[in-house]
Amino acid sequence: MSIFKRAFLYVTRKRGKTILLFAILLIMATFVLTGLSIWKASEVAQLNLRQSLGGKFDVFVDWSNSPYVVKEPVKDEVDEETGKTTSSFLMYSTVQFTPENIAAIKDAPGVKYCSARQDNLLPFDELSLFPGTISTDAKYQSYTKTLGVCNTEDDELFTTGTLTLAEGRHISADDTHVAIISRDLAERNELKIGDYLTAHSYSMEDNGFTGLEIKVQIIGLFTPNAVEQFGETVTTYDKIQNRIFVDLQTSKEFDGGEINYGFSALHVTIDDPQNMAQVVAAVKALPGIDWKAFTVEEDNETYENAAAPLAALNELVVTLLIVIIVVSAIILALILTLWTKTRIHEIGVFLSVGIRKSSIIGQYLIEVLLIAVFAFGLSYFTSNGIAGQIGNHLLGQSVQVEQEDNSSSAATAVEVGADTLIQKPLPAENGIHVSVGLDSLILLYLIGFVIIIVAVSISSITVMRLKPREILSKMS
Amino acid sequence: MPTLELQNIFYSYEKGKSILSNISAELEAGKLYAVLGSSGSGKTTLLSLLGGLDTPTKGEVLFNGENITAKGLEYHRRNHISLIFQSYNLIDYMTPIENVQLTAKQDAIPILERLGLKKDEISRNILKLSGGQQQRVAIARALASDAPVILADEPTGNLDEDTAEEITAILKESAHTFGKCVVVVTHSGEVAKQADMVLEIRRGHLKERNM
Repeated sequence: MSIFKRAFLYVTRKRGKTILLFAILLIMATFVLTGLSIWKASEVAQLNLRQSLGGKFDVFVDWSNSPYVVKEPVKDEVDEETGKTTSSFLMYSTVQFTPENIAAIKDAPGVKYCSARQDNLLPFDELSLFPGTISTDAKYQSYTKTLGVCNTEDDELFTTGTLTLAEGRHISADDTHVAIISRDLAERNELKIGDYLTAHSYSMEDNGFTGLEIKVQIIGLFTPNAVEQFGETVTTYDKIQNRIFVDLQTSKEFDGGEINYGFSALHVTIDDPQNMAQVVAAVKALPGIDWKAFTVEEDNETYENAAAPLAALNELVVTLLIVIIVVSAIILALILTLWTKTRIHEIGVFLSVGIRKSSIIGQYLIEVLLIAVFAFGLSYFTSNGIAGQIGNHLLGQSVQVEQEDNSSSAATAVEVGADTLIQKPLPAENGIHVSVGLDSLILLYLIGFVIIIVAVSISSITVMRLKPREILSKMS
Repeated sequence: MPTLELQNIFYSYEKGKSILSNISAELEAGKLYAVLGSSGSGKTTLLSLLGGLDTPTKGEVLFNGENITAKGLEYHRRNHISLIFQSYNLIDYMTPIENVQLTAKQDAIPILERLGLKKDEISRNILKLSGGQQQRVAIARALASDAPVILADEPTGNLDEDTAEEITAILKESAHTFGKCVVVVTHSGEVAKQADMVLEIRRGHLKERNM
């Protein structure tokens, strides 16, 4: 008679023991599967959180320690009214990031976006700008900020969804003398794509206009998804609707001098904040960048604050899972050991008719596995109910804590110059749903079968060490 | 060549108490042997040594001229030996036919029927059969295994006189008709009378007596 038939006969004829073992295995499987599902959901929640929050770091000129920082006086400025002369200095780095550096960083593993800007404050006399909420010097009323970029698609204001390109196209690295302005500004000034704006080059070194007139063509219009909040103070040139994005070449021409040939700072967004150290290391290993000139400032605070409750929950669930698995194995081993001792007569008979010890242990194993297959299957339904209740409650609490942390720190503001006033839209809330998946069920079968093999092996040790005659003596 | 042969067998417990001392015997196919002796004389020990359930302290047990340890005791038990016990030793969650099929190398039903079990009895719960019927199932299991040696330890000990007589007749038939080498450990003089040879153990020594 085959080992399988013997096991099948035992399971079907010893119904009391079968039902009891089925109940024990069902309870164990429900605990394990519930733990696995919550653990899985917690992992998914953490992943979603990482992906939605992302991580970022800024690289900028090390103004304190860089050997390439130059400080030189600029032409004195004379106040027209008072006749007073003001002396000032110009501080810049002779080593800056080039568009090639930015492209190389963008291609580094783990980097999602890399953007950099040159800011210029320039007058656009022909434009009617949106007024700010605080008054500025009369001279600056027609001034607004131009942002020189390699391409707008990778700029943080666009990648974070603060701005959306509503019409036209983005500025790319190959463009010259092009601009993107806000749709509001375009409508206010009856401008459309294809029209030109005129600006005047201003030299920082000479502290005055160079006389060069630069025309840029509008190639796109953006719409802001969030603006400064009511009651916030903002100058005319800081208002988001007045911003003008231009290509890098144009920005350099606006600047007039030759000192700003590249970027003094850049902003890097990474895929997974958990990999911050590796990504920074990979970026620092890139050739062609003189790191004596720059310093890196990592910003993982938002992610770390948000992820802490979920990480704590994850740790708790993993610990519980390990405890459940170990306790299950011990309980099962004890029960099977007791039952094996009651089967000593059967073992003696099997040995006396020449059935191997391995075949007897194999039969016991198959018996438990046969029952386990059904118990584990049923645990899918019991766990779904329990995991849904417990898991959603636990994860709900964790996510609530995380959101409270986010809202209290207002960490989602885009911190680029005065753009802190502009609120980045919060990432859409990811629905957390704890349910038992097929992968968890497969994992349960694997863990369960290992527990059963260990338990059956332990329970068989005492009897299987006996000689056939000792067993037969015990029988009689 | 004898089917089973004991060559200068010694057996003692770990404490040093000697049970069997320099025993030699030849057991042939087609014969029924009765092993007699008082309680604790070593009858069951002798049966265990023949069945490969235990090993002698000294000496050899041969099957068809080969030491039974050569291919392993498990092999010997599986292929050469069928054991019958006083308490039948059937598997309680198997029916009579399933108990016989446990080691059967031939169709179990004709054997069970030949031993007097009816068709409805062979598929019944084993515990609902009488002692005599259960012992018949145990003998059927021994016969169906095709093992050339049947070792029976007090097979009629729990049975009434009439049934014991029937069981003894079946064992005798197994030896004489089916050519098995049947060794029966017994206290019963009636069983001993049916045997072809009586082996009596006294103070650790064996005496052979032809009937």
